Amino acid sequence: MGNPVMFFEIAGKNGESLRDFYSALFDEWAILPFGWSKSHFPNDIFAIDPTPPPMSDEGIKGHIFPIPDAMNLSNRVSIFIQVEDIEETLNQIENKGGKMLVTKQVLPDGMGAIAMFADPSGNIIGLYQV
Amino acid sequence: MANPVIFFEIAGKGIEKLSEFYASVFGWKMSPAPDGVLGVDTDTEEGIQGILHPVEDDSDYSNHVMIYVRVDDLETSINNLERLGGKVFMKPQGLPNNMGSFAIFTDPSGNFIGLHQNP
Repeated sequence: MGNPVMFFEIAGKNGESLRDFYSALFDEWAILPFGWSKSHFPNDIFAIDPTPPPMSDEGIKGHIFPIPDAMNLSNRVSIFIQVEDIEETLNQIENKGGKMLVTKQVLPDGMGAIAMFADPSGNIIGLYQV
Repeated sequence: MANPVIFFEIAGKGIEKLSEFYASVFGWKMSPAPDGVLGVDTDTEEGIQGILHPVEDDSDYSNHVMIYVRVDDLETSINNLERLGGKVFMKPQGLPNNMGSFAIFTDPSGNFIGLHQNP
């Protein structure tokens, strides 16, 4: 299997105003609270499905991530690359000059697992495993 | 029409090292494009394709990740995003080889996002 770019993230401090902005700008983006419990994430994540059926099946899905006020990060855009084995990929990343930022996190509801790394230029990129 | 996210851009200084990194870790295939840009073929049917974009060594600016959203009409989208609190960062520019045109804006949180219009 290859390693496709399967998901995007748009993050900012004020999640609700970001949600309102993108809902109004791209009016077919269905942006909904993800509904994960507060034990996983302090703020509601907004899932974006820009291609709800029966419309275009092009493109990738994503979410708007409200950054908690306490987090030392103002905003970012990121993409997630699907891999077969996150741990093995993280080893390769560190061998090739990248850096692990967030180790493997198993998502609730059987949704797979994620991790985050920085590439040699400092870009923050996600990994996703089914 | 829907507004799918259809393209990604990863930018940074040291484009050779960046290219080697993504080629060796993820098996992505790079091909030269104008202005030192490298086209990225992830060699998968799923997902989206993109580019690696060089940043000049002496630039104050270091790196970014961007996504591009397809729209029907760049001017209409730009009018809308300005009304909603976004800002135009780069006005519409034509792409070579009949690949359409693009523009870049910042959202209310300061994220840079691209727009793309087909020819």
